[in-house]
Amino acid sequence: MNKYFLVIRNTWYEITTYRLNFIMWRFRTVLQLLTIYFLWTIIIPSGSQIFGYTQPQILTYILLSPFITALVFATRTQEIGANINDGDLSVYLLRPINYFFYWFARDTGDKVMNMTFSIIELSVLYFLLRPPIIIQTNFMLYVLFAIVIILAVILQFIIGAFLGLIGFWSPEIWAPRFIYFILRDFLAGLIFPIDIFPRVFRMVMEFLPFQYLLYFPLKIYLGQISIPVILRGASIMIFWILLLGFLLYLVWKKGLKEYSAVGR
Amino acid sequence: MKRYLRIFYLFMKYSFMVKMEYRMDFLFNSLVGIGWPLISLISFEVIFKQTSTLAGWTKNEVLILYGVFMIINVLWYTLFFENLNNIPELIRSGKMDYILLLPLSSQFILSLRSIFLSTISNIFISIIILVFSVINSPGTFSLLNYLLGFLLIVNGLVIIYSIMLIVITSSFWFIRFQAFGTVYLTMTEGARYPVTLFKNPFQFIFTYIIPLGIIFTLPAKTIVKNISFPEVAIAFLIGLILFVVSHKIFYIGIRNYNSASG
Repeated sequence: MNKYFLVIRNTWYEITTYRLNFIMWRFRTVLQLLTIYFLWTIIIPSGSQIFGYTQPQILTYILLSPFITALVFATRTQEIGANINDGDLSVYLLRPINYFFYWFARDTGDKVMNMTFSIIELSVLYFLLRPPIIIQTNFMLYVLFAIVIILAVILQFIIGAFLGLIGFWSPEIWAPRFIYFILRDFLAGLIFPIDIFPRVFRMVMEFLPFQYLLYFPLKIYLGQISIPVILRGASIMIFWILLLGFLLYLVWKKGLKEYSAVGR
Repeated sequence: MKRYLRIFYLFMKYSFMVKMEYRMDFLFNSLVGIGWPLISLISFEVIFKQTSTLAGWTKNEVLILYGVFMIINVLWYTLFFENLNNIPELIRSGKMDYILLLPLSSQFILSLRSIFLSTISNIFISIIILVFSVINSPGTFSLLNYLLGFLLIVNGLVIIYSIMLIVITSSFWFIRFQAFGTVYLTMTEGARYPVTLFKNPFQFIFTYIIPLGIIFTLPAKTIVKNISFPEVAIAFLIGLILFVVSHKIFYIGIRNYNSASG
């Protein structure tokens, strides 16, 4: 366990070395949040209820999103592609460390860093904007929220690692990842909660993994879905984790077979 | 002048030849170029199902703003982004020396040597959205609206180019600059929507400090609403000043580089 902690800590150090990069990234995240925040205060003026959301509900949704985004979406798996293509993979295979646990540890370092800043930013914004937010009081919901978040982290990691393994077959994994991220942000409910879309769309989304990364935990927190529905959602998440996890394993094995380290 | 145009044409031709070699990449980028506006359009549909105006802009006007935003955005990425982004790497690897030795304006070469046509599909969609929305607008507009709007779009691009040029010139001193893309994205984050959406102090910041209002909102406003000559004049003035200033700062950077590496 100790070695993975070191990996987490090293990822921290890496981020602090490329300080400007990280600060710019956080800056941008805050600006994105502000834009969406102001947008929604206009769409749903205080006192009214639109799309089934009151202003406090939607603002809580919007303000909690960056925190969950920092927790679930923050990743280092984009480096897997270069890792494979540069031949560095050989070095990692030789080390007494599980390749996937290694990347998960790196992700954890990234997530902790982003979460810390997210909490600071949200606190400052709260005092600046004084938004009407909802504090959940049901303890059970917090527990379910935490469980679902853990599942979301695992699910997102598997997807990220999967996209990274494309590096076995392509020199550049940027494009598929980019398409995935754009789609994911929208489909996970980043700007618009999924339940404001037409019924057909919602029904399709229920079976896809995306909404469970962000939208689902947020709805749990807001207390807007019942326990049976929560359990159903969690089962769908577990289904996707197992399915994609298995696919990941298969792709990994196939990729290794085709992998020939260049220049090592 | 003619010489520069000819060389620009050559830059474009060679970039295109190189890009077409990576057909998959080109295809992907084209898909992104189509998918992205599509998602934005869906978002606008959702917003305007609820409210008929957004910060005083109707849906049609917001679409025009979006068209303007996308066109300037894509032109930035197509013409300038990668070229400026690679400057730190050129400095680090020493290749900058060869470029500076060429008998041509260094700024011209460094800014335009690669044209990234793969995002071009986005421009077509944006222009279609723009033209369509303009046709749909109530009221009549004179040719002057459109002409000024077009010039303001070019002006907006010049302002963005100048600001980003100043930003990247810092790499002549600091060498590393990984967040260049993020700087641009951060700067234009609020550009999708009319500047009036934001409450103060943010509206102030986006109008005067990072002039998104001038770059994006003003051309759209000129095309579809009213022409405010003082604002237009100020916009062109700012564009001109920034271009000249960025040009000077850039060459200070080059001079500094020359004396450092010998």
